[in-house]
Amino acid sequence: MLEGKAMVKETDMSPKMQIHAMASASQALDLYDVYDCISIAAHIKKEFDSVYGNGWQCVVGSNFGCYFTHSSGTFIYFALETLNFLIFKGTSS
Amino acid sequence: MEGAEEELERRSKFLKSLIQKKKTIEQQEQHDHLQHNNVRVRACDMPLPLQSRAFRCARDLLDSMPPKKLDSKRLALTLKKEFDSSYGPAWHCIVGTSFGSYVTHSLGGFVYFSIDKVYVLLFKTAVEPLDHS
Repeated sequence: MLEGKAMVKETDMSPKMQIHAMASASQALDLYDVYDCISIAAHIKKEFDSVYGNGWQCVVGSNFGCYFTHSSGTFIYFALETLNFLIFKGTSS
Repeated sequence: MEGAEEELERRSKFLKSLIQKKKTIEQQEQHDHLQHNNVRVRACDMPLPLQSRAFRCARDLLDSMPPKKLDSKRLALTLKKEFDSSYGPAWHCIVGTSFGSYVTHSLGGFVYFSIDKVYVLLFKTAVEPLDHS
């Protein structure tokens, strides 16, 4: 069950994967303090690596801008509570 | 003989003073450089030339922006594009004052530094050939 309301800002993920991303973020927020962005990011990245294969990247915070190259269908940017979440697969050999 | 010794002594002192001045100037330049760039490396797995490239690129762009007006996305874009074109794809860049991240990067392709009051994460991932199916 999602706590608070997640708002997807941009994505090219399948709806199913989107739900997984937001659920993973919500779970991470249950486990870690909102200020521990690195642990939150690590939780989500590891989840996605284990379920969808290696090479996922995750950025969590309240103030950041970024540019990146991602695989098709593997990018989502959403807000949950006071944080913004960016998850993408940058390909991994 | 006494005149010759005095001349040698004078020349020796002159050379020593020249060397000392040169050292002082070099130290001052290095200090000015670090002070001006205001860069601190927080974590790194990247050859020095690439690091210097990132710092210089970030410094130049920040200097060209209006004071106290940070454009995180523009800085991230500039760094990513410069590194993509110079060192091959695919680079990713995150810029901001408040974020945490957890990433997997290529060997030798990772630097996390602060410049002024902004933090920059620049890293590279391997690129797989496109699947032509």
